[in-house]
Amino acid sequence: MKITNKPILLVEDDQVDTMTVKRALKEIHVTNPLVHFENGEEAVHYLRTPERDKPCIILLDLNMPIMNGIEFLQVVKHDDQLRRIPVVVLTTSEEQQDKVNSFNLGVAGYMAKPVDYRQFVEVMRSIDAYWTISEMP
Amino acid sequence: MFKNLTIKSRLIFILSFLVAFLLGIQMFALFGMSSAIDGLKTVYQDRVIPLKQVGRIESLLLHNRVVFTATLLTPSPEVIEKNTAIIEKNIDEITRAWVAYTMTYLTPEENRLAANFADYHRAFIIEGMNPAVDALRANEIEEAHRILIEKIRPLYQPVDDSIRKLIALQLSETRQEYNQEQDRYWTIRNIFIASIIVVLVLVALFSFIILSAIFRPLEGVVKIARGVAAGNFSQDFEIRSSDEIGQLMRALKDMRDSLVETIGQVRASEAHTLALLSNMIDGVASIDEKGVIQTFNPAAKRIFGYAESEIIGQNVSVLFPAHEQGQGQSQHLDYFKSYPTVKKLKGLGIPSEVMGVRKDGTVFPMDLAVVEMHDGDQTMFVSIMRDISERKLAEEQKTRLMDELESANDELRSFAYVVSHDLKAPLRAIGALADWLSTDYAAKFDEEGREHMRLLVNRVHRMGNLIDGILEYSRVGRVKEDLVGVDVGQVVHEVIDLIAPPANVTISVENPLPTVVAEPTRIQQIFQNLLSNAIKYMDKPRGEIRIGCAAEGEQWKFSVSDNGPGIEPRHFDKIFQLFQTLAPRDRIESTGVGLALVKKIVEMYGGRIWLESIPGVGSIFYFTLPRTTVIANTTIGKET
Repeated sequence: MKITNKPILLVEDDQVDTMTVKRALKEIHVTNPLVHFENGEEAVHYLRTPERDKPCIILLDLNMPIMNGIEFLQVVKHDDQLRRIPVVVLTTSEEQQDKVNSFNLGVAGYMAKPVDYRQFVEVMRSIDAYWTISEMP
Repeated sequence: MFKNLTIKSRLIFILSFLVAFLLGIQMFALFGMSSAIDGLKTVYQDRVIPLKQVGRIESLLLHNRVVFTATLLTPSPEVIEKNTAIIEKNIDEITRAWVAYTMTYLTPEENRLAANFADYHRAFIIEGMNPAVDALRANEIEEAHRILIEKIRPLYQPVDDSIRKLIALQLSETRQEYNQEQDRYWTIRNIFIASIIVVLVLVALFSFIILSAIFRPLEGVVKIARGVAAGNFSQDFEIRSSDEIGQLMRALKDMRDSLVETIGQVRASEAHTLALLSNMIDGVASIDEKGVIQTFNPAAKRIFGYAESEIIGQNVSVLFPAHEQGQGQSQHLDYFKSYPTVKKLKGLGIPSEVMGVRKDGTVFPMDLAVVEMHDGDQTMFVSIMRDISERKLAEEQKTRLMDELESANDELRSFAYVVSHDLKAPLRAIGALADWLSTDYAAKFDEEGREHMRLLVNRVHRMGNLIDGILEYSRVGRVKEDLVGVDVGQVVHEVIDLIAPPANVTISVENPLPTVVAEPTRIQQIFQNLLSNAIKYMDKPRGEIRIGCAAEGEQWKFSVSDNGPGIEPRHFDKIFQLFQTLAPRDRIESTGVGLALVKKIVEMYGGRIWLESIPGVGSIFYFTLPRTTVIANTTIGKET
């Protein structure tokens, strides 16, 4: 990541998936702190707490309890303080409707979680590479 | 022959005959009259005038004799002078009268007598009178006496006799001719009277003929017409003539025949209707204006459970439940009341669902249609009723089944989603954990353990692919994309790029591919699966794959042929079934979804898929897509 001191926000309910992300980030030597919430509501609460650092990127699962990914996006992308934070959807869903809804809400990327861990590491590597190069406001 | 003439020509014939006959009589009468007048004229000229002339001659002769005798008695010169002048004048007159008489028509008998008289008279004048007059003028009285005694007296008698005879003859002839004329006149009169009688007889005869030719048949026609009007259709028609009456009879017969035919048809139709009514499944009842049931067909009896005698004469309201009569039935009663209000109700002519009540009191649903009929001033209603309780039951069952089906379908849909997320997530976790185990504890695993971990990860992949396949398969028809014009050539090109065939396989497109209206993804899936199969199973060092297309009726027939291993005909059906593969999965990794997916897509668009194959030589996969929509949507295709 370009800015190394800012946290990466992971919104993910699955424990193994969370472990996978953590392990993959570690494997590709991303040093940013990882903030993890199990649903959208908790994440929104975190984002709206002023004293907390705003994350440099949000990795978002869609299928979650309480507040799912799409609902989370609807909140975040309508919030002037939060809408510029890039959101990359990391999901199992390959439903066209989910993709359409996500991009309608201005996501920066949409990644289907591969079953194979090695491939997942490569996905994470690509995300890191991209957001290392990309300028941010 | 006369019978075959029309009455008109008969009348004309008779009238002309009468006119001709009367004209003939007139001519005859005129001719008779004129000839009678001519006869009278002849009588007058030929008889009366000569009679007068001879009479005059006789009287002049007598006068001369008297004057001569008187002169001899007193022979004074004055008397002689005067009387001789009279005598000469009389002689002149006699001569003139005689000449005039001889000029008239004389019969031979008259001629003979006239010649006789003329001889005597000539002698009488020349030998008697002329010398005597001369002697008197010469005052020779004795000489005159002598002439009188010697010449005049002897001649006097024959002259007188001959003229008398002539007069007598003339008289008798006149009478005879007059009588003749009188007879002729009588004859003419009699003929005249006779012809008038003949005319009268003829008129009477013709009247009789006309009567028998026209009025008698006419009366017959009237009688027959009355009989037909009274309903007697079996009368015998005898057409005797071809005149107007005959034509009238024929027309009447034709009318009767067509009437009989029409009535026959009406009766047949009535019988047909009755049979129809008696045998139809729907209940039919006719109801008068007041709502009283007039007829009730067997089906209606069966539906409602009434006998015909029980229901006829009842009010129609007994057929409807009491609560319906509150609102619904008031409508039904309205059906049978006033047409204008009825017109607004849905029930008139259009079936509506109402509740009916049977004799035993059970309420059941039925379709009711009411048709209004007018018969003169009367208004009738025909109500057609169908017991729909069974149908209702079936409908309810159907609805329930449909609901079940719908929910089953919904479950199936959500199942796909469940598979997508809830099945894949743990699988992924297994994969990840297995990977970490084999990485983190690599040193602690022996060779067999490592192999097991590899197989574990491999099966996780396979299961992931299977789940993806199911998802893809379930998406076809469930997830709708917009139908657009898809350039198949373009799609094929993209697919070839995507699957990047190995160097030993060549893919060629044999002819230009058309544009079809479809979801682009589906067309892509078809070619992707067919082409990747052809590549995946290729067993020849140089693989050749050819793509072709031909118009076939309403369809495009696409073909994808390869020179691969081929497929045995017994597997032709199996390969299109889900999860069916012909090669062990460990050798060639396959989910068995591809061809099933292609089949589903092709059939969704109304096409079909099949193959021809020779084992060891190669296979040709054919599939069709409809053409019609392409033509109809080409503009849409261009716009998108």
